[in-house]
Amino acid sequence: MSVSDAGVIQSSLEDPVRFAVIFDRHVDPIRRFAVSRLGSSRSEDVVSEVFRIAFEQRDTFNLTSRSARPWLFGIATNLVRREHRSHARSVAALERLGGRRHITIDPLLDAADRVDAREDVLRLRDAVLALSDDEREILLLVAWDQLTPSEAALALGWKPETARTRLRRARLAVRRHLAGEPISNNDCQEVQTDATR
Amino acid sequence: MRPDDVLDDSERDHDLDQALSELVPPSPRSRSQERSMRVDLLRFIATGDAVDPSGAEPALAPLGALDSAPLTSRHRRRRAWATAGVAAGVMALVVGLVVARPGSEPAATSFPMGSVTAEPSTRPIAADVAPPVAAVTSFALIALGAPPDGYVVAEADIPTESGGGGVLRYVSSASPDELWVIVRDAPGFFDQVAELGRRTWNVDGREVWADGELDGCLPDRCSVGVQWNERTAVSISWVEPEGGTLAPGSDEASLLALVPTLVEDAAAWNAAPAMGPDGPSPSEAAGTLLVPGSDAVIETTGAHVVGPADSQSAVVRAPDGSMLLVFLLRNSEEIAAASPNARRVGRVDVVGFFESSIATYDIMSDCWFTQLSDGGASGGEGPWRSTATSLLEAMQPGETSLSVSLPADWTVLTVTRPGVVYSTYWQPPGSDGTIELLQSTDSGAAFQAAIPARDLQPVTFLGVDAWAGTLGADSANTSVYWFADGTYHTATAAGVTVAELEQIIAGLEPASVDDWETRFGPPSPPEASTGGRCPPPVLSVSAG
Repeated sequence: MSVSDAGVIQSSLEDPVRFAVIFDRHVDPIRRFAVSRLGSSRSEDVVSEVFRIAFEQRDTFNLTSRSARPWLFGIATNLVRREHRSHARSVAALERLGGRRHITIDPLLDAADRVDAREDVLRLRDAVLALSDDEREILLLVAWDQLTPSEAALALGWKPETARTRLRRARLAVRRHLAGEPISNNDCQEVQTDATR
Repeated sequence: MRPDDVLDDSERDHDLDQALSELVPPSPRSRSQERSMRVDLLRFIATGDAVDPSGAEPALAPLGALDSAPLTSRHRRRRAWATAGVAAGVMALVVGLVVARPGSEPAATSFPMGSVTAEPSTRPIAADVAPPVAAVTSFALIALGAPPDGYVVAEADIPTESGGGGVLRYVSSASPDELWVIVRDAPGFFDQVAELGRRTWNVDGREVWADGELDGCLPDRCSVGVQWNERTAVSISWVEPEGGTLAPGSDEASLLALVPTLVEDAAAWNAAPAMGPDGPSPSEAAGTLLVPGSDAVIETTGAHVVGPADSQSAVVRAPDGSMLLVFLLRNSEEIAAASPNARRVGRVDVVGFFESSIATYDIMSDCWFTQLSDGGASGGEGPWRSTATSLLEAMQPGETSLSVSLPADWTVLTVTRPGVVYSTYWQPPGSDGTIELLQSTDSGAAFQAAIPARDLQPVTFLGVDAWAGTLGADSANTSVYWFADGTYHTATAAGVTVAELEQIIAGLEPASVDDWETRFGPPSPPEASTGGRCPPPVLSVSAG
């Protein structure tokens, strides 16, 4: 019988090397997450950083949670956001210098090159790209990383009902985009209200 | 993707997720890269240095510069109050755990086991378990206006923070028996006593409860209590401090005679000598925890407050034996206005969520938010099952309140405010299976944290009335819920009978809250109120 993540983390407070078990258990989904958000070239540092930060902050882990997965995804999400901000700043700097104007910062933009360039795939990609950052984050955590909405809420530091609302809006917006329907004023108001909280 | 108009909502979601999964970038696994990262991590653990084999700048940024929102205490608090998540976690923790039997023979036990000998009280708890919100009063320091002859104030432990408690201790040179007046900043404190069907008296218009460890006096302790005002609970107790036997007159009748003499008297507290470190503490008086002995293998312990301030919850049992949780808090967040899973049920508009093993139903008013978690749905019944809808139909929303008049044959297990849940996961000696024990002394939060149970049946456990059932969808998980010595307990393990679980629990050692916290650490900070423009909502539940 294996000890839960909480048990491992608890024991790692006394025996730090035990934390390697958390790495072994979760490195693969965290690596896939990092690659999918940043591309393979920038993912390795982020994965290493996730586990180093998790180790340093392991005394903050809620021991009533069995799995460390949402917690690790939360750390990874923050690191990816930071990478995106940093990358966006470098893009802006290049633009100011008259350099390359179109730098791929989202692997979704490469999706059509990887997948058969069917029209519906392209539209799906465009629909996801059209989402707000929050909506895209939770949609992809659920669809790509197989987190439950509750786990995604934990990872993103949101209340469960907020996560579910944003996930629902994201799915609705993608479906409407695919169906060629415009987003209604009501939807815009909801999103606006949400964004101002 | 399949045509949208032939699919229901969950199928549409599934199809969309499937389509999205086609966009996931490839990320072939590199074992050598993982080994390299693992070595780096171990080196970092050993030395505290972020090592970059290339000699470049360490990858680890200063933590203070990291936007670590999900790691804040707010985040952890949200996790704590997300009861469905807690319950799912608890359930998941137990699933797959197997307690090895000591041998091939069933475990022997010295306790009467397995028979249904008594049913916990199903009497309605007070019609409104919390006073009206309008009756907001401040916490009061209560003293005896006319102590018994010969009794004088010896010392006081004055509560120093909101939510705390204190003790005013009276002694007499003519008797070893002491009188303690215990005050607690605890709205609805006697709700949990009411749920136990304890005896109650009307004294000068006040409802007085038998609030000791049993519904009656122990040889060395005897106590009655009253909710003085919305925030203040007060108990008067006879205590034989050496554990001897109380004198004949130190009984309930004499305590009831003292109730009319209770007065708000902060001066009496302030004038008393401060209680020494060896004196009684409210937490000790409040309840006794159980802890494994030194020969057990403790895997994990924790102490967390379940629920934000101002929230309330009720754990109820349906006639089919399933456990449901009603969670009420100030409304601070919108829920979906238009959802395909929205319905009107009885007097409330409900949005159902069925993504996890615990079906949940959200209800929102302008001033409060309620979530109903249906643990029984894990038994295979689908969304909107009749048990859940009958509970929804029993809800009567008010502007700042939610009343639930349970249908016939439903039972209230606890109606509670947030409290600390002390969790312990351990392996008994000679076993490789894990026992989970959740306990709470100041509220019924241990029951709240232990949903969802099914097939709950009344049993006698360690000599007290209890409920036993299975936790979650796995019928191998045995869970028992009981209240004893001022403490709510739930114990869960896989592959054991109730009798075996009772034998294991009987081998635990009693400990005060202070003892527990000294050994395992203090609880996490309580969660702040969710706020909002409305006063805290009031939950009232009455049994059918």
